[in-house]
Amino acid sequence: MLNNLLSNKWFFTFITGWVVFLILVDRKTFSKNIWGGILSCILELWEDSLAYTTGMYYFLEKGLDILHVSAFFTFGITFTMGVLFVQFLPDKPWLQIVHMLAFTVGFVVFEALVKYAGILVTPHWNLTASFFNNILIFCGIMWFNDFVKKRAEKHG
Amino acid sequence: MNPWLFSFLVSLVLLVLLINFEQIKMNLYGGIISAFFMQIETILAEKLGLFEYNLVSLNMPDIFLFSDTVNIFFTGIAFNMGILAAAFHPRKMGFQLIHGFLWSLFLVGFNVLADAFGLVDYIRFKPFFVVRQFLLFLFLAWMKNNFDLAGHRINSAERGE
Repeated sequence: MLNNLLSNKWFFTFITGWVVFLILVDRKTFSKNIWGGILSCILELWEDSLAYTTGMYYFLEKGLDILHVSAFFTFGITFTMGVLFVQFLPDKPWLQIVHMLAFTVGFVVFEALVKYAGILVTPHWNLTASFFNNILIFCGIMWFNDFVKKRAEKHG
Repeated sequence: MNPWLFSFLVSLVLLVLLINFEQIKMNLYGGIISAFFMQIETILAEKLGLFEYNLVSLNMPDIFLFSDTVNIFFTGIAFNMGILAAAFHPRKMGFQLIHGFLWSLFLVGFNVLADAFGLVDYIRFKPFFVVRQFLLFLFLAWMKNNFDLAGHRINSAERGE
């Protein structure tokens, strides 16, 4: 069982994501930014499970399954990068757009890698679709970031 | 009449009736961004086999602008509705969330109607797949909140906070 886990490629991405996260996370503001990870997980699960049911793309060698998605992906890269996206979001709007594009490109590169590794099959999906999809997800999170900040200011 | 031309004309009438022409310039960004993402989605859906539009070329000249992939009527509907969505975004952020949700419901209704009237075949898609558009409406609100689109950057007091 342990051997299976250690040889699972999604588990490898999970460990990688958490190592990067533990190095970069600001522990003092983590409780204020955790919503970014939770929202990313919700959006990712919604999109990826619907993509599975319609046959756009699907995961292989999932390890742990949650709504036809690898739980190692949802609670690994998705959660950790969601928190880091919010943590490092700059104040200036133009820089926020640059930040959003950087994360979008990062996720597209990640998708290309997992496709190359053979653990993501995309019969009716491609990296261009992923690029524009990720742009909208991160743009939505940018609005939620303003919303959460304003509410925090309002409630002291 | 071509049903897509009809839908476009309905959206144009709505725009003309509802928009404040003095403010149309500052809400153009909503139309441009919506039309851009609509065009991208149309091209990708065609290429990836997600859904297919029907009756696109009915009674229309056989030219590029009325094809399945580039159709000025699809893009025109998104442009008109995008301007309206941007124009009617409230200033309070809680209401912006509700506003985005209502526009998404409106879009679900449009998708269901288009399906019922045979204007679109959903192959690997469902009419309620509108989370992306919901996020797009929030992005339009983010633009309004953060850029000088209303003549000045909206402050917290104006958002009622």
